[in-house]
Amino acid sequence: MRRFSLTTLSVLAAGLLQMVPGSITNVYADDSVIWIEPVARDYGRPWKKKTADPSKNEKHIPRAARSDPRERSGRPEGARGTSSPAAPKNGDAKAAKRRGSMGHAMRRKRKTYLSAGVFPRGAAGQSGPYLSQTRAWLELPDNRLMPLKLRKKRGRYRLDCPYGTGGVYRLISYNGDHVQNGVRQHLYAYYSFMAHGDKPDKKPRKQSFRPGFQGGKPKLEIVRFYDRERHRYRSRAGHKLHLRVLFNGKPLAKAPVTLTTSKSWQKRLETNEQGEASFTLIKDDFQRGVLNKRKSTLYMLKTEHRENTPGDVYGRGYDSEHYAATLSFQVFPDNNEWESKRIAFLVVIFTIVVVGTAIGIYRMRRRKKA
Amino acid sequence: MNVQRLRFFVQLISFVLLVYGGSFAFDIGGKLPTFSCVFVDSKGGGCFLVSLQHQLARPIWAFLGGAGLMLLTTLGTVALFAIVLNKAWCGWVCPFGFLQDLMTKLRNLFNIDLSRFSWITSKRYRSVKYIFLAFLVLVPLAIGNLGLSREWTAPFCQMCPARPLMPLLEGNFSEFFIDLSSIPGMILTTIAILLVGLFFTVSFIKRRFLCSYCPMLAFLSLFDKVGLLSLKKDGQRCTRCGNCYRACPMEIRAIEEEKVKKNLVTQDCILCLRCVESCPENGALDATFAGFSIFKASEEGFLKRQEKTIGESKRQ
Repeated sequence: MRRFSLTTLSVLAAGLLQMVPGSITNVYADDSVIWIEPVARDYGRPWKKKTADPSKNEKHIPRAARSDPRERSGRPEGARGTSSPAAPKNGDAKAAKRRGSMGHAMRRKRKTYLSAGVFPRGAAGQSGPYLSQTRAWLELPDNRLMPLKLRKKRGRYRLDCPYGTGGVYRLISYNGDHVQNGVRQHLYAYYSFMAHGDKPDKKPRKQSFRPGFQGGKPKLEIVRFYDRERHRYRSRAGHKLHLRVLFNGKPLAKAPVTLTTSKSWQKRLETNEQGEASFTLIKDDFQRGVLNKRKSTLYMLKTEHRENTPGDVYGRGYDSEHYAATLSFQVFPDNNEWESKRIAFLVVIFTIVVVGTAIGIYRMRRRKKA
Repeated sequence: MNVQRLRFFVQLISFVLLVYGGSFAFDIGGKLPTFSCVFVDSKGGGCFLVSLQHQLARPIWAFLGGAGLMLLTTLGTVALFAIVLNKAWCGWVCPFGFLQDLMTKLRNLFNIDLSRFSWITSKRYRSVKYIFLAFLVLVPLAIGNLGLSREWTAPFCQMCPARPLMPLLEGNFSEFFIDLSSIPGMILTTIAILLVGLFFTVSFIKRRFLCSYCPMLAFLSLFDKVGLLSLKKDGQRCTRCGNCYRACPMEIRAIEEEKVKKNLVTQDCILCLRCVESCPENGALDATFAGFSIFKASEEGFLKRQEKTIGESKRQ
């Protein structure tokens, strides 16, 4: 009864707050952002081919579908397990043409969701104009921009990034067409991922895509640096997170940067004169029972900037511009949770002592015999 | 020509390039048939066994498409490397082999005697490398097709002693651990740590101890006959003095005993050419590259080297 009352009341209160215009969950409030989150991948099972019998397909539900409640609730029953994690769609002739003109065999696909609201419990799946009008690009390892199509799939906005050659890819989405209370909102979201494979082309091939932004570059950027190259592939709790905030390509000093974890823990810092700030990634996901070392949680960095430049967009005037950029990334558990260096040292010392003594005794006996 | 001195310098250069090369932008890719561990951050090249194990962990039908092409590219590149240098990758390039040679130098410094296994024992334990090779091929295939747990991913890398040892050379202790998250991880990483312990003990009584178990050597032996670099023996000139056998770090008896076969690159040979250097008979042993002789055994050379060695020991 107590649980029912507390949970229900909080849900009701949140729902009522969403209805009130200008409340904290309003998407155009200063703390509202857009962010990109990856569709969880199925690590546990081998890839299995779809069969004609739908009852057999039921058994191969990707872990993503099972673990993500939003995904589960948004999915029609019959559609369960019919999506394959690795199979690209070949039917889209335009997409095939695009793949060909890029000069890469873009066979692989990184699937992400675009969300909006207040991280981490945003207005996922909300069909407002701000998400549907958001544009997205994929920055390839050779710095070219490839426009992406935003699709609504099972109640959520999806961005599927086809990629081929190895290297670092950056997904950029931008929404800047809306004016609220005389303030133009520029919302940027970044998400980068590293693909294994061949090295990227050194010589950029023919530029077949228009540059995405006015002036070619996003205005507010969060650029992340890594202590070790390996950390780029997988961030873990305990790693250092170094970042630089750029505005118009120049470092932005004293910009507020907030790190938010999936459990809503926050830390706020300001950038220094070089536009840089550093965080230590904390552990946020305390799993019960057996540790799943492959389970990741989403963290988000957010920065803001305000410019008092009046202007108008699509006939609507504004007095100032508000920029907000997010960089989302997955954080995995710290290796030290399941790796023991102490036992390893003990095993090495034990082996050296035992084998060394055995060799010594064997040699002494042989000498005595001789 | 003092081949062993040349070999030492080649090994030293390749060691610096493959272990620290990445620090000064040297990179020759990740498909080398040598134990250049990919877990070293500053590596200048990577061992191909990692990509092979990952590429094999797919369903069989996937090999009909792009995955098959990737696998063929990997195997083709490695085959090309293997054909050119044959097993000299082990004797002249391998950074892990160089570490073992350094341990042998340390053993010489402490005047510790070598030990030799009996013929039957050594024949038995040498077959372990084929078990390792089968393990690193079959386990990834079982992951891709039979639903074996992903904890077995890259099984050989998990049990390879180079993984905990090589990153230590750049002050990185992150790979020196026993994985306690799963039973397969625990078994495999414990084997790796045990092999590290054996490396620090058995290296003082046996030369190139871990090479006898190396699946890379087993893989490279597929190219023994087609390799451009080879070792020839003229059985008519051999007097079976046994110098070559005593000099061989891999303790291959066939060098001494073989009379009929011309090609002496056996399954365990690492083409270090110590046997050619220690042979006193003119033309009995001959190292050739694409049919051209590059280093031949000669009485004159043997005596010169002997005099030099005796002179050096007198000076000491």
